[in-house]
Amino acid sequence: MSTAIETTIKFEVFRYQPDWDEPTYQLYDVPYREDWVVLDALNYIKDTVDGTLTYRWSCRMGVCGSCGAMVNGYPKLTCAAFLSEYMPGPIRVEPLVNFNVERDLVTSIEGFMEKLESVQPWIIREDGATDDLKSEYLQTPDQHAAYQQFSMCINCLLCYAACPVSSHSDEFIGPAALALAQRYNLDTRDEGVEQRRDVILKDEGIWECSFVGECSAVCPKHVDPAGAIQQAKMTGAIDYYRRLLMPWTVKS
Amino acid sequence: MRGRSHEPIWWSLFGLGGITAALFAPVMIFVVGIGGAVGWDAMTEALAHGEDGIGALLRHTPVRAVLGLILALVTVHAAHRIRHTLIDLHVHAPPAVLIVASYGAAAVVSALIAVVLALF
Repeated sequence: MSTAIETTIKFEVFRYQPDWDEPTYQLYDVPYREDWVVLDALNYIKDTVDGTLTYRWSCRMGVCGSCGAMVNGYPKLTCAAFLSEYMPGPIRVEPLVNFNVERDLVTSIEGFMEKLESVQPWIIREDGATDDLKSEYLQTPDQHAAYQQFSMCINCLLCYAACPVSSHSDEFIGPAALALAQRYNLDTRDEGVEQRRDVILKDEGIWECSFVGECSAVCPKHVDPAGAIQQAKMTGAIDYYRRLLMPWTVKS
Repeated sequence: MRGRSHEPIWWSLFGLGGITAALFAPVMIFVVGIGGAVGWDAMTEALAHGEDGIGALLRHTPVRAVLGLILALVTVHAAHRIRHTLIDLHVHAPPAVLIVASYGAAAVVSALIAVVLALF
């Protein structure tokens, strides 16, 4: 039996319960395993040290998008943040910033869900033909490539935590929802550009974005929301000048 | 359309200024800063005439007009970036105040540039 002293790593975990006046940070010693990620450490704490710790998780492999948190101040999927990257520690885990905290690491995503719904991120057909399961809508590889990367979003909300605009504007539609709006606007099968226009082209849509680009930097799925917003700004600006200078060419 | 933003005006000027800076700033830096030093003949000759060389160039009205336009667009570009950075840094001011302050400053700087160019 090995007599080696087990290596541990210190965790400082944000704790808040609804009946508390103030949040606090709780310290935990977690055994270090080279193949562990922050989520494994949280599970270790919950299973063996403190069953009251609350956080969201599901797939453990960067697909479900539910385990996002601030790890040492940086938005990360906790299932993709290896302890080895943070040795010798400590590792501070906090809920994603720019969201209200419900309990410990769990944030309220209601505001985001409303914004997401407002951009109608689904295929809209003027003929209502999406109900007809027999129809085929063919796309060339190039047409598919135009929006493909924007469709990789898993709604983990790291981009909202990284976004300086989201930090001061509750109304800003934000990176993920705008990237998904662009994903459908670029889809040749979709006919919903007009229906999304009002939401996207207001100040709180694309125009509040200050193009810092952190949304794209933190995205675990390599989506480029900043690029999507820039594309939408270009079409939005052309649309603006067209309405201003050639109003007769615009459908009311 | 209700709630429609007028930000495209500022954004398109910002974009124009950015492209202008990217296209012309390296050329201008090369022409007045590097070209002569590395022995680019035409520039060496112009610089050999000292202020006269550059001055003669600036006495052409089209040159002054284009230079003024380039510098004004770059100034607006900077103003837009500064305005949005201030907002990102949580400087709490009414949007209209920031717009007037930032693009107003760009207008003042552009006017000064125009005055300086007119002196040649």
